Amino acid sequence: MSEMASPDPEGLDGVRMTWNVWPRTKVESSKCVIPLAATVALIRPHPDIPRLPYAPLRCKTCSSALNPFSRVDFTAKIWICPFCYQRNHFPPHYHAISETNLPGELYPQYTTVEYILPLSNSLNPSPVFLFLLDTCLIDEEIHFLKSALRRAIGLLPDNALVGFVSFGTQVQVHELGFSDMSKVYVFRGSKEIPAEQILDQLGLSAAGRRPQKGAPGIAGAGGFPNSGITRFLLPASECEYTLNALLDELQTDQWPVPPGRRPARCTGVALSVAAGLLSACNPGTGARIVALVGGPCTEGPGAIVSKDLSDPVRSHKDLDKDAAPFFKKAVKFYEGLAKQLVGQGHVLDIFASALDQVGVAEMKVAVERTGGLVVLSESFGHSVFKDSFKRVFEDGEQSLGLCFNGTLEINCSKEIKIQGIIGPCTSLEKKGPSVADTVIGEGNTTAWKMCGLDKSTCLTVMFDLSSSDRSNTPGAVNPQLYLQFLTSYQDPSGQSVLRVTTVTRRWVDSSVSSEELVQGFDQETAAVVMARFASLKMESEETFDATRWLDRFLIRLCSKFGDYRKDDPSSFTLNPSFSLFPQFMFNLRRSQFVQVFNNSPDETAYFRMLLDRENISNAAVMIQPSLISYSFNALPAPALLDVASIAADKILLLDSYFSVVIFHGMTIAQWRNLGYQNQQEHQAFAQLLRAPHDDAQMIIRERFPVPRLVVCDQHGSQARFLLAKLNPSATYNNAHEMAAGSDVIFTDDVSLQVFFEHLQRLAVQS
Amino acid sequence: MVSIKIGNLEYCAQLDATGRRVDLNQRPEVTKGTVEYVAPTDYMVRPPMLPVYFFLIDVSITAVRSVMVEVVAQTINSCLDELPGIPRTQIGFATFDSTIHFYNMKMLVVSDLDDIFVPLPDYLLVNLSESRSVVETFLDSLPSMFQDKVNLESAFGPALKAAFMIMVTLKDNDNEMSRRLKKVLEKFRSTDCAYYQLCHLVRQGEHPKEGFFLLSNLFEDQMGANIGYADWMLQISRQVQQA
Repeated sequence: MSEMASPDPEGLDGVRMTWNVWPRTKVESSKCVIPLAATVALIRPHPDIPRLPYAPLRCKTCSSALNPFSRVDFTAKIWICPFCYQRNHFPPHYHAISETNLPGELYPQYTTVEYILPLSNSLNPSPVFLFLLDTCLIDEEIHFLKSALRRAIGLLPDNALVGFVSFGTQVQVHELGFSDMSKVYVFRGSKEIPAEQILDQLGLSAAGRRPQKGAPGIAGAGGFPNSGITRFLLPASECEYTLNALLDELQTDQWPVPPGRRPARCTGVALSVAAGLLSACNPGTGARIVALVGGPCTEGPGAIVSKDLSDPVRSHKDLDKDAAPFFKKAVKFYEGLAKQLVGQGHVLDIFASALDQVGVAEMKVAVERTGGLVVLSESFGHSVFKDSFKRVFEDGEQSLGLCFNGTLEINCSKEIKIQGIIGPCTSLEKKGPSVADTVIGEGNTTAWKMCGLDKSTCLTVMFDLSSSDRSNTPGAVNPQLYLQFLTSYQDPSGQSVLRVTTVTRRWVDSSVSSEELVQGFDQETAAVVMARFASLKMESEETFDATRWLDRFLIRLCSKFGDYRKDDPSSFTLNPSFSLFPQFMFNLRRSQFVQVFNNSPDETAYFRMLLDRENISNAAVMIQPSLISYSFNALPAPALLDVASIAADKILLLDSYFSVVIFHGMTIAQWRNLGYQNQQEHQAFAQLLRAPHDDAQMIIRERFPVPRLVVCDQHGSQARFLLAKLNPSATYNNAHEMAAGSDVIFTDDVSLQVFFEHLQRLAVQS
Repeated sequence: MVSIKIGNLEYCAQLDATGRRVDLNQRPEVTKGTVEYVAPTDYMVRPPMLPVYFFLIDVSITAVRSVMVEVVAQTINSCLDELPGIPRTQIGFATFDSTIHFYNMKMLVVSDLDDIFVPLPDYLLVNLSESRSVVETFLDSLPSMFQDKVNLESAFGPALKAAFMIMVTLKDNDNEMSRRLKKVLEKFRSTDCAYYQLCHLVRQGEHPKEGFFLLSNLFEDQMGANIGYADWMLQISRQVQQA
């Protein structure tokens, strides 16, 4: 397809599909093995997307928006919806419409348009940033945190409303509007407090104050205004001084920690209080809880581990054996929190910095359901945290484009059913004829809520086909299928926007010919969809064996679409549309998304959250990292992700999304250590050393969360970050074959070649 | 002159011509029916308890409008020099209307009146001598702090309870008996979180009748309903003795 050939695979629409030609029946689609799925970059900016200053026309039957694929009768002023075939009349203000006078949404090339919706008077366009600060930290970490916060406060837009909550053993809500002295409202950390009680205790309840107990005749009893939430949320332009003074006097948690014990940290109650405070905002206000957490919750609801240091934090092995006593209860608490936040339309971001875990695995549900951000690092002084945190508040070209109150509606042709979405969103439980019987991810709906979304937010929509037979379809069979994605959101300036993306693909009768089907396969998208699907199943199905599942899918796919003579492995070939896919699967089954042994539950949750929310290119790098080789003899060039790419006289740059590794071959390292790059006659060597660093910085600058930079040498300990990602074509089992200066990986994992040999044999098997 | 040999020679005194001790005027214990002795440190197992003054000030609308808050602040300020126990005297403040406000370089508001707690482990009481200027500044600004507030309610009961919780602390009583008592308490608290709700303890020395002193300084806490309070305290007392 021409779309695949273009340098921008997502084009104007930001939609990529596993299959770009769809089989017409449910039976045929199941034979395709890889699910019918579309990934949608919801609000990805593109210069060619027109902004229209009016509301869209919508079909009176199915609510689809007028789009370029609608058939228009210009004389009768009628348009026919491509989804339900309803005939709709144009309203009077479209009376001038003609073939030479088209509204923007009908231009054939504008398959994606954005409508600017009028601002409701009741809506407050100011975004809210409620900082939630952990004080159970060592002094050094508090110092780092203060620096980061001061910088963030300086970057906030002037109209942004800022709130501040600190927590440790107890929660302190800071009343920024109180000028006489610092004032905080204190909540006990060990006690679960319902939202209305939080409002009541903050003096924000709907009644304005407690019911009067005094005599009705007391002077001044009535008529005073409730100062309301403005006591706690101040415009950034007004409270910079207050916040800086607050940070000056902020201390570590003062409650004593006995020896052998963890600090009492009430993250769960702190989040409840923050959510409760935000529930006093006007409906529709965009708000983010920016939680900065430095260790595990041990106090009150949401606790993930006991205070006793002799009890280790849960690991994957504990989870598998159901030997994590706090896990289920904590997840349930955070699910309740997620539900409350989604109901309010507010976002939870987690910035976790700790040498041990903080409970990201338990809090994952709240971050994902609200469309929040997550960053995991080892210290608040680490560049992963510092630079990522700064990027959240940066404006201009580097801006993340954080938006609020997103909703997504999907309309599709009658034959198509929606199973659900994998990604940072929540089902709105809106039933309709398009809802499939089975659910994948957030399903049972045609509408979803994304409290938070940004320029790179990407959802995966899983489709199914109606089980009705072709013969039941009345009249002529439509050769095209249609999908429409309507995303409404509040942009960073507070403007309400509705983006309408309408895409079409062709139906194909794959029982007649599978050639068109094959040409329509998008390997990269398919790999990412399979990774997300496998991650979801690993979390929701307790006994799920992801490796076997992926293997079975791959064998079935190769068996179906490979060219071979039965029982003859040597005859097996794959069409170029499929040829990269087995390698993607090989790397996926070795990746941290499937192999969780070496990672903590927090790390796994972190990796999967980012996998589920990033665009296809970024997600593909997570699954199959890119490797670039630098040497004297040649320009920097992509290298095979293989241990054979290691050479004594080369530098390798590995980008695995979460880490960027610069690996120096043995000879290069020796020369560098001898200081040749500092000598005038070896300028070329100095340039060679600098080139991968420059390229690494370009990657790091573009990315959120900021990846970790690892600089290492061949045979050095840090080299493990590279070796873990390479195909082990040379192991101690076949070390005699390795070339001089090459490397060997100590592993029992099979190599890509062995993997492929097995695959071929099983695929051609009768 | 008649001299009587007594064990402590310092207690000897010459007799005057009339047969009376020449130091009679310096010995009230031999001329008065009732006397008081100031015990020297030899008689103390540890220094006396720090004198603590905790002021609970009503800042509800009635108190503010009647200028009571202003008068109270001025009066306390003028009496600071007269508080006994300087330089060891400790002082603290809390104000209350529908909520309770504690002070430590900032105002800490506790709104949960049904389950009162202290918002800091320390520093709600300060040494008066060392923090004199802070205390004076606080008292000066107190009236204006609540000038514009309209709050009809007055939560005196919870405030009183909170003041008690702050004052009765084992912090300054770190001795063998206290350590044993803490160990027992910690053991109870690790098995049942409800024991955290029970109020703190006061000790009055290492008198053999420990239990009676404990009981006479305690009050019932509604949260500790699972066992009788007095029984619980006696149980603790017994275990402390055994430990």
